[in-house]
Amino acid sequence: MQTDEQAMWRVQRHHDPQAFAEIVRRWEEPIRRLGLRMLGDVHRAEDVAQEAFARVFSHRRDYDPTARFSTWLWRIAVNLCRDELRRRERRPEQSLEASGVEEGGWGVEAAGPTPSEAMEGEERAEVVRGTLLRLPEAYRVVVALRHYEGLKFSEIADVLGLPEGTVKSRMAEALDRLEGMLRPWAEGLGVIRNEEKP
Amino acid sequence: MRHPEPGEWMSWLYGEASAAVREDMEAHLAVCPDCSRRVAGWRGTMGCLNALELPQRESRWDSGWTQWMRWAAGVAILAVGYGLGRQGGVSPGEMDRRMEALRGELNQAATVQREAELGRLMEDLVRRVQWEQGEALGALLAAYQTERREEREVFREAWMDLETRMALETARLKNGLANLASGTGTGFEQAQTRLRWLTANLPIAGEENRDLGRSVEGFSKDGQSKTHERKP
Repeated sequence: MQTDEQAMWRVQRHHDPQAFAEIVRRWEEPIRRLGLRMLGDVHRAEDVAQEAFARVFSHRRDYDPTARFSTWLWRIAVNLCRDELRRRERRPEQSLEASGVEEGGWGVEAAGPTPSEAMEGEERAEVVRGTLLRLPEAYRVVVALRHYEGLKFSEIADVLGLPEGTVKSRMAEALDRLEGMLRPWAEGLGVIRNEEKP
Repeated sequence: MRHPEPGEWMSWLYGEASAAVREDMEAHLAVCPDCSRRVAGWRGTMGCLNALELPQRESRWDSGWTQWMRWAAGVAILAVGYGLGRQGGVSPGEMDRRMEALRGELNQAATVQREAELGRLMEDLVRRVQWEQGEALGALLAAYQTERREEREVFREAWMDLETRMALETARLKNGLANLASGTGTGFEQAQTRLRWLTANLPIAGEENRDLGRSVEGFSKDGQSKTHERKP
């Protein structure tokens, strides 16, 4: 199986549609997840994923074959999310809370195992989702990439163009802020034990 | 006691710290209640974040009629397998082999279909990019055409200027040629008269003299050949 870099090289050099399709197949879902966590809107997340791959293709000549493909792709996706957030700031009527994020969370119907489990699971997910969206973008992106997508801090630093130390500090700050926002709810559910309180 | 920085704790919490650093931090954690509390808080938050499950999205090439086809294929496998077993009295081993072969064929068909769907996705994307590039090209072309229009205007003016100058030059040249022709005609007539006089008065006898006289007579200044009878 060819690596992302090899596939991208084939796209770049030979406009190979199969290699590009392979890249899309591998990365469509992670990019969509990033969009969803950053924007809280399943439809915009789809748009971000689509736009990201359109950019990969149209800017294929700009890709440096010696660099890691995933870093380049994440950077494109993060920039698209930022553009969308900036657009929303300019149009305050379409804020995060009113951007198609419906009661069920993410603007889609969630599926759960049993009604009671689903209710509890949905409630948790809903609370965490809302809290994450209240986090400033600079922190949210670090949480999305490190906690959910499993990128190493050094790679996040490359994606965001920041020193690695700054990324780690932002992660710690993000967890502190989230803890402050989630504690009342988490204590109620017993997610955080009382002895863990500061 | 030196407390590790929050960033260092992040490396440790997310399993990125080296073995040596990890050992040091764990040793510190064992004796520092402040850091223990802080780390426990972060861990609790990380646990809360894990509660966030995203809705699973059906893959584009694994939805709709593709799923239906798979279901149908499964039913077909069972039906064919059952039919083969009933009709031919095939041994269980043989039936397994045939079913395996059928499964292989179906998987292959599914792969082909998946590739086709990927191809369609790719085409959509390429169309979209081409459209965007076309837009950009259109804008570029419009700008270019505007520039060309200005260029054409400059060129037209230059051409008209050149035409005027050429017309003047042509008129001047024509005039000069007419003068030249007029001058040449006068000179030719004079030369002809002198030659005629010479022919008549030179003491050259015989055919040579006659030929010379004829050739002088045979050419007029306008190039028309004339024949004159030489006077005796």
